Amino acid sequence: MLEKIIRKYYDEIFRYCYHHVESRSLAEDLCQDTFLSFIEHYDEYHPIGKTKNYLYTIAKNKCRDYYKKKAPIFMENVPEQESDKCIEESVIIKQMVMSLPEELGEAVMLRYFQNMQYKDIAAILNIKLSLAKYRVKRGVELLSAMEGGAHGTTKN
Amino acid sequence: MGQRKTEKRLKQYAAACRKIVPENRESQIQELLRVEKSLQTKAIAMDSVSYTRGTLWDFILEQIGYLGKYCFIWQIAWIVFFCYMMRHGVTDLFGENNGNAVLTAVSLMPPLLILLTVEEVTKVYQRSMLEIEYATKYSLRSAVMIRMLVLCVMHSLILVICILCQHSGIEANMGRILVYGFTPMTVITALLFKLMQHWQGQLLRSASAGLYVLTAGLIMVGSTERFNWYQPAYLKVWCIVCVIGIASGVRQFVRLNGKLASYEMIVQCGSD
Repeated sequence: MLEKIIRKYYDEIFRYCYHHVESRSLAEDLCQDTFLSFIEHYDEYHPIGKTKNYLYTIAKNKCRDYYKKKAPIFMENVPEQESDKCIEESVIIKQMVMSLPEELGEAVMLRYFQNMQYKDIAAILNIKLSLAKYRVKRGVELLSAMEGGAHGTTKN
Repeated sequence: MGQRKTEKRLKQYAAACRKIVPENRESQIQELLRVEKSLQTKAIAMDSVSYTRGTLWDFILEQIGYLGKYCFIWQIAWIVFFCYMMRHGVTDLFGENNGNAVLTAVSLMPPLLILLTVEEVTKVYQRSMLEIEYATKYSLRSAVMIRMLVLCVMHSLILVICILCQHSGIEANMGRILVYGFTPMTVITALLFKLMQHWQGQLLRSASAGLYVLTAGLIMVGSTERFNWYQPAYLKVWCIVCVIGIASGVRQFVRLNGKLASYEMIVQCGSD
């Protein structure tokens, strides 16, 4: 049962961590930590909601703990070999998401990067459905404004 | 329009990211499964340990077993001595002219019962025993409290049974005898709780012996014709002293409990 869960969600959680830390090795460590915590507390875990949401919540806390211990690494600080070449074109949008206020960035990441439903986002962030929708909408608005500003600056 | 464009870019980025997978995926998963297996083995081992550790009742029985055997020898000796005193020896000890001899003996004997066994309680939190006590499932306080409870029940039973058995040979009524028997016992217990907060081992033994000598002296003086504390008119005073003894005993017990709790916390913090 546990093996199934690990195999099913490992990549997804890894990608979620990767969006937060920008470094593949760090993301792997955080993902491993997430599953270790899950395994350690598996006996106490009562499947009230989705297991996936529970994993995301652990991963979110792991990423938050990581940021508490260390200042965030932005793309310019990441060594060249660590950033994936296939997504280099999208690096700007990722940087912009990371520069959003934490609660908005988190909601946008879950909605667009992890392709999650609003009710799952609400469950992971422990907020109401309406607030989850608002955060995603507000996040996209801000990103759009940032893009507009960036284009404007480029044109000028 | 701008927002749709942003959403599109976000989705494009997400699609690109889906190609990213952890480099050592399989080995990492195998590592997690190994951890899970070892945790499972540990949990099974812990379950069997907790099973063999037993219930609270087992713990109480164990604590009775740990009480020094000399305790029981003292208690038997005490019963024999009490019975002998009541039947034959009271007048030999106090003189035939002392009309309160039996009642004085009833007051003098019960505190002795506690003093003979007090060390069995303090032994639990002596420095040399701490390492063993902290390795057990139940806390230091639990062990102390269980021992106190066991000894308290045993002493009270012994005292009541002895007094009931000797009642026919004593002129005073049953209630009075119980008051004369239990009052010094409660006062001594309260004072002992106080002493236990400060001393252990040899120091406590000496202090409690001194305490008993003082109490015995006080009771002996009180039983003389000059004071005659055992006349029925003073029964109310005995009752009041008994109530005060119980109240201060409870107060000192709570303090002792608090002191043990802080002691426990300090040792735990030290070990962390």
